[in-house]
Amino acid sequence: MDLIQHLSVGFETVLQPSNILFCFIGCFLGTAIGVLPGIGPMGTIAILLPVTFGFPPEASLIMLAGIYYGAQYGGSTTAILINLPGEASSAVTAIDGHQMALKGRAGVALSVAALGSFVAGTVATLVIALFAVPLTSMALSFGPPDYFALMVVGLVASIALAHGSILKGLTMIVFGLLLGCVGTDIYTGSLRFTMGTLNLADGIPIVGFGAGLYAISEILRGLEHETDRVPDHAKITTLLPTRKDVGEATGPVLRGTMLGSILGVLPGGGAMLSSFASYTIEKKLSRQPETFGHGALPGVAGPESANNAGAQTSFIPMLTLGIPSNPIMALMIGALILQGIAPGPNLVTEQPKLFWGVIASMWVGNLMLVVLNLPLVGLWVRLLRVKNHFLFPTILGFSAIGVYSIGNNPFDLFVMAFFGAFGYLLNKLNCEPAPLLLGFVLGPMLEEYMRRSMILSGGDWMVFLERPISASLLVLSFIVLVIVLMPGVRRRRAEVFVEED
Amino acid sequence: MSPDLSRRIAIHRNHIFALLFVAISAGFGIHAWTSMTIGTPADMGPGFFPLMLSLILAMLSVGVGFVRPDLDEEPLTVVSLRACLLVLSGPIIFALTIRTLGLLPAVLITVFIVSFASRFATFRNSALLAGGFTVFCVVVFHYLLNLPIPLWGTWITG
Repeated sequence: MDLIQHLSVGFETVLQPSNILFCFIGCFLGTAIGVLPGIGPMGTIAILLPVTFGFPPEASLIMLAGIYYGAQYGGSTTAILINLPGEASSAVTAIDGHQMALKGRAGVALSVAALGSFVAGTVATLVIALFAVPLTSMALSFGPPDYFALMVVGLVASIALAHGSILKGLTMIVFGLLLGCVGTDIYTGSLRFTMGTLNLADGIPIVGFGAGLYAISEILRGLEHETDRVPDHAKITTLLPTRKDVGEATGPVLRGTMLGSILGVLPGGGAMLSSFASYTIEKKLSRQPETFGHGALPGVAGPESANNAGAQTSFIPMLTLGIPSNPIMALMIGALILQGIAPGPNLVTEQPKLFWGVIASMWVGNLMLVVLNLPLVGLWVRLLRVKNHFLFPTILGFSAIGVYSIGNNPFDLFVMAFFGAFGYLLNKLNCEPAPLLLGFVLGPMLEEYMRRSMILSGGDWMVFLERPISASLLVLSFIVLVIVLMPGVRRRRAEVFVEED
Repeated sequence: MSPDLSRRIAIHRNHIFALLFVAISAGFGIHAWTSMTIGTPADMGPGFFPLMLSLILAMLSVGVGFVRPDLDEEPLTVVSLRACLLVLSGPIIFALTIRTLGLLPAVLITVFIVSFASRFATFRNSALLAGGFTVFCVVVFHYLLNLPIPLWGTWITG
């Protein structure tokens, strides 16, 4: 009964006209940036963060959340129609979705993707509502060593489960943690690595850092191979799936939803990992695995449901523990702090309207997204005609305004340019920006909990292994690291050798 | 590109990575060691965590230097220097003009100049794009969202 009461508080909040409007704006923007390659939810949220300062906290979070899961819908539209994933998490959808489109089944692929996402969104909303409260009460019994261990698990998981070199990912995380040290030391008040400028006393500005790392380096990559060719897209004939399609899609949708809901909660998990995992599982379970890659419907239904469920349940660690499970959640925490709200286990009791409002808004938002994406698909296709050489200057313009407006400090823009260049260099060295940003965000918290634990234990490092929660979390992250490091490297090596022969 | 050549460049890439990050960790580590209190595990000073991290970072990056790169790696393509400089100049131009000239001129100038990073940019198109975008930003950010950034800067209003 608690659940119904909680959700009704949430729905009361969302159904206020102004909040519905913000939810709609978020979903609309999310779809748009999901369709457009080159700008993702990260950049958009960073730009809009300072703007939301004047909004009530519920409206702000509802809109920002809408951008994130809306982008999952938009990303799949381009993946299916032009084989160009608008978001990284839709890369898997492009494999079979575009093949379906080439066979004249673009409309079916689109509607299965949207409806699967909707089912997933509905279930994930319930999952959050069910587990949020037990998790927060559990979190209240966590001590500093447990928080420390939890963040270690998150950091390890974020690279272990993503693609790219594990060793480089670890390097990026540690470098991110180090960059997080810049600024004022919380215990002594002394300045660290500020290079004599007070502009860095509060640390490296996160929005300038993120905008440089993502927006600028993405723009530079887009300028490497310029064409003024407008991509061809598949024609959409019918949107309605047949009864056979529905039957074929049901299993994958439900499995994808379950998988996404679980993987999304893991720190470092979220949308991308869920969609990759779901595709692999559907291919293994299928009676006709040979159809995968040639337009198999389950190859669209599973991953699309999984990425939407994952995107939503990745809010759980942020809402219940105040720990961001990915860089986007880190920005959400930034939005809360801007509003003067302390994220953490107390959020649910201190801000019930905000907490349940955001959760309920996800369901409302998913409903809007189905409407936005299916009948209006033609509008989004037209958006793809916008050429890159008109798009990138505006992305840069928006980012510059966003970065500046957060603190009215021109210094933040120099940070943006610097990390833009640095991010591009890292990209050329085959490094992912996500672990760097996650390390940067978790760095100050990780240090604080480590120092607090060590003060409590009187300098005994064993404190992390004596408490059952922290010990098991640390052992878990160690096992994860060993597993991904050993056979993965071997398999990679083997593949290289095969190719050489 | 032949596999041999791409392999060589790829090896290079990991070496560059290792050198870069060893240098960075040395910089952070030495700075922490010489100018901060390190403290003891029971009573950590401001330098303890950074020093620990720079040691780990150095070890990891040396490790990357020994990793054999993948053969199927994309060949290295780099954006033209002109485009790179123009894009990076964007935030800097904006930073230098936002207070002195104000929001309207800053957006106009930044977007106009940055647009020439594309090889398809023409004077007419860039002017139209910059003009249209500026109008949009002024309406949305200044009039609708009331962002507290003055339209005209100190040099203009005096």
